[in-house]
Amino acid sequence: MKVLAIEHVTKKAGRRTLVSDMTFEIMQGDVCGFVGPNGAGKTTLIRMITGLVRPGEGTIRIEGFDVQRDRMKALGQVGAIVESPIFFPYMSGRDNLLNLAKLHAGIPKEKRAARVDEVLATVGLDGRGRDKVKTYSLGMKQRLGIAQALLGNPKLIILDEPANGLDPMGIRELRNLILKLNQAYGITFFVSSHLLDELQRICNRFVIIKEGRLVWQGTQEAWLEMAGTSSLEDHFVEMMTT
Amino acid sequence: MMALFHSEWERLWKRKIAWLFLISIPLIIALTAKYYIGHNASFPLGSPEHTTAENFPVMAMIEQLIVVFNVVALVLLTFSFTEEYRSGQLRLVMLRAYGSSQIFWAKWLAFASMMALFFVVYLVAAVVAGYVFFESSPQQTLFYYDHAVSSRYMIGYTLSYYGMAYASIVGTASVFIAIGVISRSSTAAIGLGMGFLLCSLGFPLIYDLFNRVTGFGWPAMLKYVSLTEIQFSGIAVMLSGSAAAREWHAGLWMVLILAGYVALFTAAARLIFTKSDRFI
Repeated sequence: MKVLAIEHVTKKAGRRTLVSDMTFEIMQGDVCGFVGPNGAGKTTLIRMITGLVRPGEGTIRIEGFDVQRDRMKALGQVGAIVESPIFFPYMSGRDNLLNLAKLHAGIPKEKRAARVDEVLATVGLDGRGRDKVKTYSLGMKQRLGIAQALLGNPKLIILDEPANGLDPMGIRELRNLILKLNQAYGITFFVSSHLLDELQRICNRFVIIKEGRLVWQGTQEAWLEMAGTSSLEDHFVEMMTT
Repeated sequence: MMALFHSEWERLWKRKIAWLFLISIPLIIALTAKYYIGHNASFPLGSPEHTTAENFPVMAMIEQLIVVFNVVALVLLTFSFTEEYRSGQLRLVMLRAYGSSQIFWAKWLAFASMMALFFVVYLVAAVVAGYVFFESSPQQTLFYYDHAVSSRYMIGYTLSYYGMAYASIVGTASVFIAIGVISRSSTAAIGLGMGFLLCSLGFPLIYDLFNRVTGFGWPAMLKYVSLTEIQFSGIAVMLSGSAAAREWHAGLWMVLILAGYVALFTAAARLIFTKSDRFI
């Protein structure tokens, strides 16, 4: 079943084309890596998927709902971290989540606190939930970012460069968390990252873009077969430079 | 929409300035009372500048409206609009499926409600302080009135004064919101907001000077296009119902000016806030 469908999406800023006629799909249960060099249009497309930016042309559907026309229903299925995980620093991690939980119609008032505690425990922040966010390390903020993305029981989680600034321990924790959420809860992931080795460990599918255009999409097996090497990174560099 | 309002209110309330201002209201009132106690030595009973238990709430509002309330409004709106947008915090709300128009109005409503709370607490504290620090008088002399009024009349006058003061804050807030949505940083928003207040304060002085020097004799009512002038003397002129004020429809003129500011700047701010893509 299609969770995310991008159909002929184009976005221009002035004369510059940021995303050009992009079309691809992500199926239920996929962990999809979204790769491309800096400035390829990854974050712009993620902003369009999450309703922050309007596509110039084309449609984006989440679980069949058009993000522009059926915003509530479409985005109600999504949790996301766009760029860096930014929170309200003057509030504790738990208070941040309680504040955001108010905005989910699917979480009744009496169940908000329990849901917040549940997602904090899922990401391993239950011991630090009452501390102010400004005291958190980047790794903790990433985990809190995933916790806020999990609040509304999403079917799709979008992570934009989630490993940025994380140390190897943090990256491993994040990887394990994504795999746990995917396998235990069936959550579909769409992960943009430059760390191809890391993506290779968690993703079953890839979408590759360059200069705003789709270059290739398919399963990891298909990419490995096409590359003829065990390192996707080497082949990716070759694709981007030729 | 109510959930969005609650969320906005909570975030505004958790800012230090909000609750610090609320708990400092009794202190501000006490310091204002101390100032007017000294002031009374120079102004005998019967002068509109003489403070009594009954007119202290109005005197206290006149004293703090332009500086304290305007600045608190500017800072709260800068936090709510500029900082949340420019830092990317607004993404957290927008990702929750709410449209930017809904977010705009929720922010506006949360601010307006919080200022209403401040006005009510300020009024209650001023009424209490009035009877604690000043002597009661059966008759009050008001600015721009040609006759004394009773203490009973004073109750209605005080409520009307606070109502118009609140409306004037909504007027300045509409300008601050417009500034907030176009400013690229909180510092710029605060700076531009303070600049607006200073221009607003300076305009009547320059207008009077210009009128005197050129001898054009332009009508005095034009200086009330300045919001701070409405706050400084306009509300009292408007409520006085004096013959001079009636002649140039002071009340209607100033209400139209306030409505004009609110309509123009709120519409512009909403348009900017909702039409642009969120590259945040």
